[in-house]
Amino acid sequence: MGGPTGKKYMGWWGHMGGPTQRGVVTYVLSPFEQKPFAGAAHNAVFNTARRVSSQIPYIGAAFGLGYLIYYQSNKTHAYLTSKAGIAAEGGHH
Amino acid sequence: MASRLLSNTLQANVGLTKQFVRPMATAAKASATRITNLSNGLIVATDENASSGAATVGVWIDAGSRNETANGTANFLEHVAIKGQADKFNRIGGNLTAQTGREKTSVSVKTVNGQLTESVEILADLIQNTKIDDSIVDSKRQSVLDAYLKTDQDYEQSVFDHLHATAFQGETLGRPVMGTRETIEALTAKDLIDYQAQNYGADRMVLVGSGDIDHDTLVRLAEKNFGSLQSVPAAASSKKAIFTGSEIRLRDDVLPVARIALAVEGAAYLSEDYFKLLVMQAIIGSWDKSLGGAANLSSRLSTVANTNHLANSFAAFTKGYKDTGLWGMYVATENRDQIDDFVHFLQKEWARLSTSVTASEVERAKQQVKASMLLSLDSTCAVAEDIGSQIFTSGKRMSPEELKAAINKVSADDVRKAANKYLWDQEIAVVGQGPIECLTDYLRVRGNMAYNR
Repeated sequence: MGGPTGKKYMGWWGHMGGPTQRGVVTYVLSPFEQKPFAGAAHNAVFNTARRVSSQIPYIGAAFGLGYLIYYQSNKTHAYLTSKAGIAAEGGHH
Repeated sequence: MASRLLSNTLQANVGLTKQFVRPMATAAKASATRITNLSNGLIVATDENASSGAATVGVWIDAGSRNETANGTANFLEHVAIKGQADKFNRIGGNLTAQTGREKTSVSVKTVNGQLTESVEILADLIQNTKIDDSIVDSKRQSVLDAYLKTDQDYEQSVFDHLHATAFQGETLGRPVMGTRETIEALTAKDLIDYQAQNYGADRMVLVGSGDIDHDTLVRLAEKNFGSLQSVPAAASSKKAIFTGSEIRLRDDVLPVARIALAVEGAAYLSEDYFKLLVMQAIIGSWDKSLGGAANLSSRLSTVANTNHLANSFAAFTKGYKDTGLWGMYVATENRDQIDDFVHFLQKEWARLSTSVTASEVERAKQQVKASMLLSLDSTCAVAEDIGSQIFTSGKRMSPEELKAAINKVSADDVRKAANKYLWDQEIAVVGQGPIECLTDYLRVRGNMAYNR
């Protein structure tokens, strides 16, 4: 009728095609019985501080390395374009 | 107004037919339930009915699994108490029945040859003189466990136990009456003795007689046999059991039938709202696909379920406890691909209760409620159970006329207001067991408790 169809990977509600499930009990609590912003203010301060401070070694290392490169490059460039630098190294084009 | 409409065809013929009516039945002696309070607090209540041919006498105790400290105590104590007593009753020609519920426990005996004295004696012995010690508890443990294991296969009972457990989570009302395997194995004689000491008091008991019993005789027997029963210290006033909107899914794709129960918080037993909830329950209705009239019931939901084969059976239910209750729907279905359709149409009907329920629906439902309430009092045991339940809830027993009046008071407006209070956008507890992949997600069910219109 509509031409050949491919393999079906999914059924619908009630026969989705997944494995036979049994022995697992699922519990749900109504959202209105819960406080959605429980601990939000507390976490905004303390958890954020913890998370930030735990990343300091990584960020710090990368930032430190990047800054070091920048600083040394600028220093080297300033030296190479200065009178002493030209006299010692360059000057021959 | 609708009641006039429904009955106007009868009015026309009444004048004509009255003169041709020959009364055939003997007018029954109008008898109210006679109640006496003994000095020690025990209440004796009798529904005298000399023409019933049998008599039921029993003790109803205002305590159940809700009052336990260790879960399963009340039921275990009932087993220990009636151990061996059943034979005594068989010898005198009686039938012993014991039941433990969440809020009341009962032991009753039905006799046909008026063995009232012996029955009351044995009952009193059972209640007051039960010997409880560790050896007896251990010897009874296996039979209690056997009874518990038998209920494991009763999926409907299990669904309702889970419904109470999730709806009243954290409350003693949520506990299963029988307890669980672990709690039954952990019970000690001390638990039973403590429970009995705290709850088996004269002021918490009513001795009920129903049928061919004379009230004064029963009172005399009660004074003789229960006279020494003491009252127990009143329990610390318990707070109202809190209802929690929640869900438990016990998915099992191997089972053929899915069983689902949905319930909102209801009203206390026999409160004013309770009767409105009963009328609402009758409007939603019950249905079984094997009924002869399955396609033609008054329940609108049943028409949808019948046409589309959405279920095997469903039944709306109302449960009332001392301070709270449950109101909802129980459905058993083999159509595992259309469970969400059933829940959808169910919630549409629930929404109708709050919005466009009609007066004629309410009138028909009222008739059904009155009929089922009064027709269920068809045996002395049923009447005794009714007396026992009512005495502790309201202090008296409502006569059939009072019951009818309470139901008649309910109007369509009352139903609409009650539905808005108990159903519209209220928390709901859901339990599903079996092949419930298609059971609508909890958030959707909760969201469909109200419509934006």
